[in-house]
Amino acid sequence: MDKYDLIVALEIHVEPKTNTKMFCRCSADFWEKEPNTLTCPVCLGLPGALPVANKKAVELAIKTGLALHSNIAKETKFDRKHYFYPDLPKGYQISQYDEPICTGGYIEVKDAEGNVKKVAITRLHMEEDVAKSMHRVEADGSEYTLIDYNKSSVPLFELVTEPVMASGEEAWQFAKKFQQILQYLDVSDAAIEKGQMRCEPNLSIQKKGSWEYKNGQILPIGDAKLYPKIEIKNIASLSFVKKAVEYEHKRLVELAERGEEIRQQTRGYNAEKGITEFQRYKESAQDYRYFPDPDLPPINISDEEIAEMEKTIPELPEVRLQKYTESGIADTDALIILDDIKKADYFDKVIAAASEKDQILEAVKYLNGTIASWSNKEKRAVYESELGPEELIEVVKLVESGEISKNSAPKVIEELLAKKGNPTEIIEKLGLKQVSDSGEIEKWVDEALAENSDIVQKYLDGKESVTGALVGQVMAKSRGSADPKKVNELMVAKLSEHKKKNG
Amino acid sequence: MAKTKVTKEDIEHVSELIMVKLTDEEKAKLPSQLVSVLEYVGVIDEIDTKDTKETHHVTGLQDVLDEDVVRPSLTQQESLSNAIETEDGYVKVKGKLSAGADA
Repeated sequence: MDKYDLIVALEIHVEPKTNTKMFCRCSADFWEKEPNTLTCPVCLGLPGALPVANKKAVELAIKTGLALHSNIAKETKFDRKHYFYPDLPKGYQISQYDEPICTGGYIEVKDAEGNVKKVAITRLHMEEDVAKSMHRVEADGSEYTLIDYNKSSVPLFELVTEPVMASGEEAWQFAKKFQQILQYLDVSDAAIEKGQMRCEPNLSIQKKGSWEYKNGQILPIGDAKLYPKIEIKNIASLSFVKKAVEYEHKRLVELAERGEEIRQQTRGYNAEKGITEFQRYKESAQDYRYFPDPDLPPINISDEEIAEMEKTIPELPEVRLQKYTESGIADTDALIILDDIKKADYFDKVIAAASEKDQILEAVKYLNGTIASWSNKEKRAVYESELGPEELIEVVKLVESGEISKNSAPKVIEELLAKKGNPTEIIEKLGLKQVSDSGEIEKWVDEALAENSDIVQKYLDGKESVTGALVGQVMAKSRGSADPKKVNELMVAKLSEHKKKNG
Repeated sequence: MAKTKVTKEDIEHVSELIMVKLTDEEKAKLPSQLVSVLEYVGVIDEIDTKDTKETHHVTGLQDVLDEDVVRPSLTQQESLSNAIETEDGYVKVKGKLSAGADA
């Protein structure tokens, strides 16, 4: 494997969250709807029908480009991409060829050594989706296809990266971060299982030293012969991005080592078997006869419009991650919080309510512990519960001041999650107020010692571990409200005194 | 830059792209017929367009965008009314066609 470099690029299609389709105002909410009930002459490609571009789609494309640090085109247009297929009613797809709305940009990933690496983006452009086709077999064995045009002309953004990733891991990181950005921006739900985000890795292996990356292309050095690239489709989940690339990497190296020919092709990932399977060869580029769509006037994007869109971008995961880790929060804990923008927004309020770093760290423990368990059980997120961020910090402060013991805190939090309330009142109601008053505790300790002379004897005989049992007795007497540390201190003190007297 | 030579391969390539079947007779006749058409149109090359911007749109319109508000769609029956064959509300086409022919 070490003789070869792996070169990976990603092509990702995203369904932006618009109400209507890209070039007509049929509803774009086609998921699980009756077939062919969301169509019109435009998306059916009927003669004479004229497209009109969706303003929201353009805005969301600009928003996405800005979050990716891309350059937004001052003038952008649509082009026709021609080929014949039943799921493409007009005989061409309206897409963007040479004036895409966004160019450049990047997403950061970590390479194998843990260094931050900027994965460059070539472009992001707008286009329309094709209809949905389903394969069927007749009784006599002949094959046919059923087509549903509800999906026809639904908006799509296509993002293409430069061929600068070196592993399945880097590709997975890129895809995951891109998905998170889309969700944070509310540009798309990007649910892969619903086809709202479709990842296609393009990869090749090359002998070390035989290639160089120049002007966005992989070029041979000298008269070296380069291996062709493989495109992988049917990646049904983010984890498959990594698995598929890794499998293909191994497969290609094996072929190369055996001296077998590798031809440029498209393969499909079979998740069940964990392998890629041949679909078709792709040696010649298709002649799509691109030309600007005369029915769609060019779009000008002003600096003012870009500035307006910039304002709508929330604080992105990258920035928040840094903020959280600077507060001392572990990477892994921070990432759990950041996974959901609403959770991150909630956490930002928790940070605002805290007066010290330690309080934030304690809050994180509850968020990823007690609260996370509750969320799993109730199928509700913390921001859908009755526990406000300020109340969470209040509970943390109450533990800090000794009002309640650490053990009691989860009970209070669980109450507050289910019903809006005041932490102090709940502590009263549940009788969880921690007793730290030495007088009270001493009373209980003396009682426990008096009632358990047999255990005390065990202690005097040398078995000092029974202290725990006696402390347990006191905790039971106080119904859990005694400060366990103070109880232990006092118990140990009294027992050693006893020992001195009688020992 | 009008083409002045049209080969049989050109004819075959284009007929594949536009999915028009040609007989051998047509394939033989077409090159010379097309060349004369191309030569006639080639008179355009006599104009100096060095300083002319490439024309993509002729209406002078710009920034025509629709608000993202849903408008009613056709009924399923209307939608399928011109389909040669349908099944359970879908358009039916012979042959195995997996999603998407191209990249």
